[in-house]
Amino acid sequence: MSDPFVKDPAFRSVTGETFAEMMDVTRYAGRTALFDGIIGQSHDHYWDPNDPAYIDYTQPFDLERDLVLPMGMFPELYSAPLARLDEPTRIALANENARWLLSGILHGEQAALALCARLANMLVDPGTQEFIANQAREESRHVTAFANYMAARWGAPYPPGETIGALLCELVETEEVYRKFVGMQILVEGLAMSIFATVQMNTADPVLKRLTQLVITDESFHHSFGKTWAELTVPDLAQAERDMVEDWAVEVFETLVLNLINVREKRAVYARFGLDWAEIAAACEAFYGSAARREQVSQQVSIFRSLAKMLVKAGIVTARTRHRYAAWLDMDAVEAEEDYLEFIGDLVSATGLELLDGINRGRKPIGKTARVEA
Amino acid sequence: MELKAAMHEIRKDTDKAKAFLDDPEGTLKSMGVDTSAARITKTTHAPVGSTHSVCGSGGCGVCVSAG
Repeated sequence: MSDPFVKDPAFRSVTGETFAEMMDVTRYAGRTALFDGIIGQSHDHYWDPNDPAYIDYTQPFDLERDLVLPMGMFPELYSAPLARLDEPTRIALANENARWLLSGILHGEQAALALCARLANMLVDPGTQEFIANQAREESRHVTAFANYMAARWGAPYPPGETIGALLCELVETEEVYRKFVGMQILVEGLAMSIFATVQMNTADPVLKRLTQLVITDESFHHSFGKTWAELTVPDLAQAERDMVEDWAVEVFETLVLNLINVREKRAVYARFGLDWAEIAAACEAFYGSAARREQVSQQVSIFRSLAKMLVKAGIVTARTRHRYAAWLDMDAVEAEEDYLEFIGDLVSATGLELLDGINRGRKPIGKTARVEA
Repeated sequence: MELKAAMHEIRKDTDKAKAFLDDPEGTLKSMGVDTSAARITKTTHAPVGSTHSVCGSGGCGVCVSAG
């Protein structure tokens, strides 16, 4: 294994530029069993994003009166220029913020689909290939489901913010497999799981509640891929490679934090209301004072604590990089506490599997037109 | 009951899991967990339609635990 980032043969890769390597006759027999359990369960959590038996996008929701997500998820709504707006405008603004957040999720799902499709052509092990191809298939139904939801509620999603858009492009396009694993399979998937768990617990929209439940049920299987890679790789990396993994992880972490809290990223949202994002950003600074950045993150505390906790458990946060996480979070508390969003994700996934078992029992899996019998 | 033990019990019991997802604080209280230190405020719910009262930190189940 000449690739210094490969410590288990299940994660060997090639560039994917030529196909000849995939027809090496010795390759087919070298299949890992690491992911067979997850692959075998894929039918247990099958769902069809276009079948109302799984999600009924026609369920009503009054965007003018009700909040899709609580205002507390968007701390700038408490800053002076926004706090003084009338209540209907604040509700509309909060719901546009939810639209922006969920648009980012949709772009992330599309990136995960593209990244998995590329990895299926780069990873060498047939078992790992099957896992990642299966993940690509499941990400594609998430894209369909979130696109359906955006169409039902708002007509169309927002374009990606500059920061998250650039990051997703880099993750999909990089030829370095470790950067894909750390960036997407661990960090972006981990952040998505935390956001889904938070949204699932807090949304008042029954469609979004069901959607996130079904997506969590899939994602809990995907997320384990990144964890498995970290467990089998990180402890055995040479110092130079370990440093590269740690540095890339903290760089992606900081990008994700900034994307979620930075008012500038969401300027398209505020422009719809004739509001100046720079004025709002300045008001947030004044509202939170010198500890503005850390305080803003503390408003999103559960999501980022969960993400940092996951990196700690994966051995990717060490003394070299800990201070960079500590600029945003109380790392002593993160290291000491349980990962509650992971706990919630596990519960949602378990109840989602039970739900799908009930629905799928009534399904006739015959061709593409099969639908659940009423 | 300690929070960690309650979480373990909830993981093993589907009915408790469903109850927790619907009402985190109430479920923990019913199991004898002291939630008095939890940072739960009811400042962010919609006038109509919110299914949960949530805290400013963005997640009721989370806040109960993180308190």
